[in-house]
Amino acid sequence: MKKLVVLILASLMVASVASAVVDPDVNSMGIYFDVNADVFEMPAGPYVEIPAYVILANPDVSGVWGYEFGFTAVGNYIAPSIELNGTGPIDVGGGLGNHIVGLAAPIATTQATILATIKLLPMDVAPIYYTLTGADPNSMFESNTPNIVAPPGDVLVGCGVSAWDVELEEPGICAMVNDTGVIATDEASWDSVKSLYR
Amino acid sequence: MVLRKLVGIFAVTLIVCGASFATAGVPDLEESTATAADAGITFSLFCLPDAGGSAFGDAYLKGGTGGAGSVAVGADATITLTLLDGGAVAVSDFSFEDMWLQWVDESNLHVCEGGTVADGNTDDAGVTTWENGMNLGGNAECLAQVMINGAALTSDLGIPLHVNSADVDIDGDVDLLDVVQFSGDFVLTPAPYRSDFVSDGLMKVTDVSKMAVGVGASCP
Repeated sequence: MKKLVVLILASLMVASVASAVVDPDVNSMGIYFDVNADVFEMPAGPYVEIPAYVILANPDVSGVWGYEFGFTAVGNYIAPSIELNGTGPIDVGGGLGNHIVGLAAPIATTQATILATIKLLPMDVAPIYYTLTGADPNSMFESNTPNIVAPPGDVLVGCGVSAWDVELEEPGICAMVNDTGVIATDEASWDSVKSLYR
Repeated sequence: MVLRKLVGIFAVTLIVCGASFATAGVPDLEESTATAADAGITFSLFCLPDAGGSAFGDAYLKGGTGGAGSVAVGADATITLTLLDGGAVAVSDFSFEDMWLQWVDESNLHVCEGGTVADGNTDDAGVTTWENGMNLGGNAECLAQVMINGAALTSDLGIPLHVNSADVDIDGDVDLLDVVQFSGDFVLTPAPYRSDFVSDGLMKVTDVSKMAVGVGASCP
């Protein structure tokens, strides 16, 4: 009986850790391979479609009326596509990799709010690197990070990114397939950078 | 002699009283006034053909804060009309259908039938308002005049209430054709007013959100 209780508790702890959003920052956007914003590195074989989720982590707004972001995926793959989340999305970003999207109704936010699903088909087992950036043009003056539109539908909110290249002062690689390099999840926002020097 | 003078005075009094009686209860375009809640600014109001656009209280300051980093600024464009007759007496229960807004230049505007009438009949004080969204497509960047039975108030030149709509092609509904034109406007600098729905002088994702909300709207 005691062993059974310990096992149940242990499995509950594992489950809660596994479902935790890995990025602690508020209104931070990233690319993940699970819907809980927990997995940003994974192995993948060739010719099997990989879904990667663009997720807004820890939003402090009740809904998302629109969103904009850019992304790159560097590697050997074919058939890239994107599915935009939300009701009646209108995308004026101009093409895959740059998305400026308005919605007819808001997405109700959760701790890990899915904004879009990127899909591609690897051609081999070589690494594929994803980077999430701001859209072009960026709706936030002098910004290079993504943004969202908050209720009542005309409030622009700047977002951080889950990975930031401190040297280049721009978004860095935030997810990868078939590699386990260092993802810069620590310095994910300006507030996080400032906290290092307090 | 005295009798003649008395008759003359009586006749003049009759004429004056008769004239006053004739104008009683008839709106006077000079005595009546219309004012916006926020005075002294130029407004921009986002409209839809189905009145699902912004209420007058959710208008914007035309052009926002301006400059490269311009942001939208909210403003209250609620219009209050006080309807008086020639004797400066309130005209009550005047039909809302006989009071509407009309722009000096409506060449790029699509006004749905009855789309800009007042919110209700005048009350005992002769007051009515424009607060609710209007049924409009297209855009106008000029003064809006309050019309009483087809004649504009003469107490002032009009209210600087500019309007735009997700009905970019000015045909009374919002559909793919409007999205196409809006998408073309999105890359232009400066932002074309007809697509700058939050009126900050720039094309942003906030404008895209407004367009997305408007798709499918049409005149009643």
